[in-house]
Amino acid sequence: MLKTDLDPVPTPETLPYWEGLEQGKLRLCACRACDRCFFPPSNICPRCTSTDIEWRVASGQATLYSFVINAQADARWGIEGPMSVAMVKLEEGPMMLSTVINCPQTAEALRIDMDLRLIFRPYGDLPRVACFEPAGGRDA
Amino acid sequence: MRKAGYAIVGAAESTRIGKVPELSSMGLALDAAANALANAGLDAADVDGLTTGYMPPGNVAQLLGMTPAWADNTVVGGCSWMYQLRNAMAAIAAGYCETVLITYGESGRSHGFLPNVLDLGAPGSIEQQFDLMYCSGNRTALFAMPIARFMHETGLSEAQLASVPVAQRKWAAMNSRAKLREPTTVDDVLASRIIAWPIRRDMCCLVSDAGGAMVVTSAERANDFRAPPVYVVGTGSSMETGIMSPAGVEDPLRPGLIRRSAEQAFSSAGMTPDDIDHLMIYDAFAHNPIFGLEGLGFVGFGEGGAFIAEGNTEPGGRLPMNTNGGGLCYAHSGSYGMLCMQESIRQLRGEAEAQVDGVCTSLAHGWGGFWSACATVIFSNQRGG
Repeated sequence: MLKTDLDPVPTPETLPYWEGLEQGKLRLCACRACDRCFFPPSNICPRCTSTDIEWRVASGQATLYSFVINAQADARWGIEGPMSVAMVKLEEGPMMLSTVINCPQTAEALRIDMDLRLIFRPYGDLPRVACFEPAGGRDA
Repeated sequence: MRKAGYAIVGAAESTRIGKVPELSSMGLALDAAANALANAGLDAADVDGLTTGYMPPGNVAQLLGMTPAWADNTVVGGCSWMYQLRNAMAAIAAGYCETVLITYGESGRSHGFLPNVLDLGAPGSIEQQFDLMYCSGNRTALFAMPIARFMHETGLSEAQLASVPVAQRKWAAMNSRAKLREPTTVDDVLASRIIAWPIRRDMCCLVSDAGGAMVVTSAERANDFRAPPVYVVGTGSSMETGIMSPAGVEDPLRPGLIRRSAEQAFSSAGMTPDDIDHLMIYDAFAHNPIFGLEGLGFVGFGEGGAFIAEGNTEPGGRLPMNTNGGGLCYAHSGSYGMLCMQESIRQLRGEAEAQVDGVCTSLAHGWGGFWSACATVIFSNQRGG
């Protein structure tokens, strides 16, 4: 398959997202014209094409929209065995790809629409990337 | 059915498919092109338009010995050749050329997939920053993302998902060129190893070497060639999100791009799903035909899995689908859209190995990327009007 360098490379438009993670914040772009957050970060609102964009810090509350369970995780995660890949619906509205950890990585433990909360964990050389866990805590 | 303006007057796959180590991707494209031209009774010099995907048109033109007035190499993923067919029709309508050769070759198995001209996963791209890290580079995981929620909302079972390759294996059994021809069962499929739950190995497409080519011209000229014409009676296409970004689709369970593409194709043809005798839906993974059946309007939302599991798309079923065995069982060299259309054309000419009786219309639907692009082509062996 296509070989891709998995270490994320920020662009000028996304740099505040990555800098926010270093500081323990999940930052989202928001359009001032339509007062809504969107993802991924961009200099243009994908809903109204406004260029009046600001950064807001996400609450970290989210729900699990859908998921798959990858048979193996990349070594940068430091996770042995299966690892979920999740479509997470943020409280602010946008969907982002992430993972739900701190619970069994099984179709039984990962329940559609379950409440999630933001956590950070290292990925390769990055000290913090955005991950999620069940809002009830470990093994909820 | 509206009167068709364009016709396929030559079509063929590469002489061999599957494992063809003696040919490169270019070699497969040239072999298929030569076969399609021979099928039409044309020399390369008779063709004044050329499309290629992932390959520079100039290189293909040079090696075929042609000097096209018009060329195109639109690449949107696996359905690129369907986009190119639409572009070719537009070029003919504009008077840029009269006869277009559409070429495809890919040595996915022996010498590697076509070059990454889309720069998928390029450093700094949406996919590379926000998707590929989480799926550990496993792109199958990205394509499969909506399935778990789809199962939750519609009751689609893992067994129904597994019935897709089971049904298509029955067609493959009748195709001497298909790679996987032995019967299989739902239990066998569910026993194959997990790639990204709920997708298992036997729910994933093959990795093959293959080529395909076709010649398109105006319907007025359709009877001037050696091969029986197959008319293009309706087409549509749509894009929605980044090439690999599932989170960019507004409603991942009812992808709007399928409905938009289907509406264009059916309305331009003056047809409805009830008018379709034979169906090809690009099956990179087992869930694709389920989403396709629903998005194209052949069944209601949430009904696709049961429709396939109940045998409706199998030999003898009321809607024969993926009758070559599909990307799951016939061949999948990386960009399957061309092979999808080739089976539609064979069925309409009455020359398929697993020939369905009385096929007058066939719909071929392809994807590009993962819910990024799609295209729909309705063919008929009648001009209509």
